[in-house]
Amino acid sequence: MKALRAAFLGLLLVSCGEAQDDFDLLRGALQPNAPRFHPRAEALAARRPIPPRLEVGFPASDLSGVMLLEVERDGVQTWLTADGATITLEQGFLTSTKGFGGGMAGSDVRQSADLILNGGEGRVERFHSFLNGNDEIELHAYICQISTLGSEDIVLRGAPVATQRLQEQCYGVAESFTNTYWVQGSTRKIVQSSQWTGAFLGNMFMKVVPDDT
Amino acid sequence: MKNRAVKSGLTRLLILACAVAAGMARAQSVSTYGTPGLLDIPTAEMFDDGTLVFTGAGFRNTGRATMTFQMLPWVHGSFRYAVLDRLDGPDSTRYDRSFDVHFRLREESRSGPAIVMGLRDFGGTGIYAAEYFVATKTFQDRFKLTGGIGWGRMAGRGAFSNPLSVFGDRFDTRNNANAGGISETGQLDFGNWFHGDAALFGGAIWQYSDRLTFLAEYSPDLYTQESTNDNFRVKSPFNFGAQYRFRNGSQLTASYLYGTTLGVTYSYFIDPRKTVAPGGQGAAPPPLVPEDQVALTRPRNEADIRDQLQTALEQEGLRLVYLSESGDTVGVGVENNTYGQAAQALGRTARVLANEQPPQAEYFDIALMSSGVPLSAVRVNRSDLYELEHDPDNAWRSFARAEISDTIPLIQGGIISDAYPHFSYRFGPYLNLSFFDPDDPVRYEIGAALGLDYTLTPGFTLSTGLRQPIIGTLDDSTRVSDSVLPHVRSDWAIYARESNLRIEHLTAEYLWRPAENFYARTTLGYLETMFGGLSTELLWYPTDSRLALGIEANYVAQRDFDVLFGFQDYKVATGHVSAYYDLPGDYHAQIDAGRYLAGDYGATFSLDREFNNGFKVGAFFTLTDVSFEDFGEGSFDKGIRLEIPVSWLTGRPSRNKISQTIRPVLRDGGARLNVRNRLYGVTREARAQQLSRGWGRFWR
Repeated sequence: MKALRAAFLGLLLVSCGEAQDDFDLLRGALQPNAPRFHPRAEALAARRPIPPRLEVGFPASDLSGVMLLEVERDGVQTWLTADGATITLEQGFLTSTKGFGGGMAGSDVRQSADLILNGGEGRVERFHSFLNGNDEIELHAYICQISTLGSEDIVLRGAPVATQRLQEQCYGVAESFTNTYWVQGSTRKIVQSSQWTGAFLGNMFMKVVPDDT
Repeated sequence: MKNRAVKSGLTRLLILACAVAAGMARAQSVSTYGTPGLLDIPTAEMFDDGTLVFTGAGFRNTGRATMTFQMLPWVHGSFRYAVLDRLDGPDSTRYDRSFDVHFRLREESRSGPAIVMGLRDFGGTGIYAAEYFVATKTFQDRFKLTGGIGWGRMAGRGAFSNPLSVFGDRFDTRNNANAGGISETGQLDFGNWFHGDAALFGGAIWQYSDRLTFLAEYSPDLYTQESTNDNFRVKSPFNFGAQYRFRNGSQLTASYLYGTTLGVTYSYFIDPRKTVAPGGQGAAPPPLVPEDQVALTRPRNEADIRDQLQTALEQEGLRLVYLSESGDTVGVGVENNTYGQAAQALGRTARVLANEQPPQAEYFDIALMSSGVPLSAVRVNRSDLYELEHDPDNAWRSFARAEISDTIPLIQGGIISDAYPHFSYRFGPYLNLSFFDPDDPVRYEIGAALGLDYTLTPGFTLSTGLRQPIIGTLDDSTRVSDSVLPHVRSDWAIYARESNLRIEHLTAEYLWRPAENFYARTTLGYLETMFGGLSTELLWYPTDSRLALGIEANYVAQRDFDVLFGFQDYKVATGHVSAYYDLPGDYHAQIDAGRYLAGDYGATFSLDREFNNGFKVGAFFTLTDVSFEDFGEGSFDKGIRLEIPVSWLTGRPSRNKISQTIRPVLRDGGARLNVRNRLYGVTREARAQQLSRGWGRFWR
């Protein structure tokens, strides 16, 4: 695919459009890692007090960074990266990723949330929808086995936090994946997790950053 | 209840996914002809539906480049360009273009083989002309046996008299395919198909592992024409090869052919449905802010609301050109210069409106506009946005609730005061290609292009495009047109030689809506590189229709070879009536009937396969009252075309496309005016059929 891209990027020069667009594409091709700051992210970063933060990373591609909470509505939090990509979390469970390349469009993770936040074990179903390369939405269903892996102390901003570690192993028709959650004992909230974003990028690691107060 | 509905939908999808997975498990070997096959002989296999396969093959004095497209699950078509050194003598090179088509007559089953009928080189110079029936059966997943009977070129070694002669004596003899010389190339040779002697062929495939496959075959092809002048000799009918499949799916085959030569074949597979980044890498849409917060932060006066809306839309790459408010409804008009799918522009606009408009606005009427002219309108309920934003099935559910209509009622004064006049420009490099000139099979030109558009009032645009060639071989061509028709296209080499800085177009254009379901266009000026004049067009295209009908009339004069300001003497009235039909599935058909640039009357038939993401592969041909003889080489105008959205390559939102039409030869018969902004192309993206296909991106 890379060779094909390179070949076509030459051809891309044929394209017409806003000049800005062409130059952006060219720059993106030459310096794929050059930072692009999205105006929404700039506005959010300038807000005081600083909005809640989330440390995130994609272990498979060695990418990491910080996301800021942009909006919370009906129990769904939308977190934003500097370049304008977002994820949504429902009670700490990943329900969508947009702008990262892969496209988890939406999810129904209520069964997993009920069991995991109550420290239970068992079988649940979860559903994810994905935007595919042909601009269609694919709905995928998974059967998941939730098991507890014992208690573990993790460190949040230098302070140890007692958590229960749980694992959710999911199987679908074409894919399988494993999510791991560290649930804080005192609050029953997910403070750290590794959750699957889809076949394109694999798992995403997330860790809450506690408020200064 | 909702959950159950989702689940039952999921079950159906899962079954579908299983079926797809089963179909993809097989590996596919590709022959030197770029079609499913062993080394030089075909097999009865098909590629995965929709796959585009590019194959390059080389062996002694012969090179073949083939593009094969699996247009239907049971039909694939190919276009091939072959370079044959020393075919016609020691110091000559023959360039040969050929088309193949293959039909699967029977799918492989547990007990029986797949059967395919192939027509190779059915309309070229006939050097590769062959027809065959071939059967392939798989044993224990790893072994495949192939056997078949071939006519034409394949009736070489061990040829016997035609078994089809039982249907009549006419099958006994096959005329010399190239008897008519170059003037008859391009005509279908059906008088020869399956005629003359026949011979048997066969082979075996052993898939040693997922990566490595061994192939052995018996080919009756004697390469008779090639051996006359020592292009290639055949000593043995047996060919052997090994094929390696790379991680990216491409395949390399090394072979020992006909006891005399080594050969190499490389195939690259493209699935148009797969992009570099399936969900796209562009910025995410703004999330919906809770309604009570919108109420708190909303600006005091209307001018502020409008300014804030304009800024917020601009941030999403959209231009606000119209805004009206009445009671519980807000009507907006936006121009989308960013997203390949109009549905994505709609989704972004709807969310911006929800975040910027006061809570009493319950309905959003969003008109998609082009140069200030509404192409269609979609009504979105504000409450649906809040309800569906995080629903896993929100794409389908929101589409079911959206109301698509012809346009919104445009109220006087609704046009944003600073929206017009509007100036925009494009500047960037361009690449121009010309294929199959025997002196230089690929000619190119690279240069700088500048485009300027100035929209004075809604619908009325002054526009120009300039090109300055920098390097290239396009203007090296010294070929002189031998066309007996007016040289409306065949003087392209003179245009390339005699022009430097070119005014590609310089036009005044007016677009308007004469009535519901109708669009109209008038363009005056230098319409394209070779012609200028007046062009008018009317299109009937109901919002939810698969069918559109258009009529176009033009009076044009041929431009000077310098592509600047003058005209030549040749003038012509040209125009067409057109029918466009969006076929079920990914197919699109178009017929244009009328008078062409050389004054000839006829019709163009086009069929495209269009994927939802905008990737297109198509073919067309034009038959006019110009005789095949007068048309010259190729007999009639035909070609294939490819269109690839830039976003398919980059994963970033873009409306740009790379398109390339490949014609075996460009001549004067059946040549149509290339006027810009034909109405169907401008309006189609916003009509219901196209919106529904792209609705997966509404929430993206």
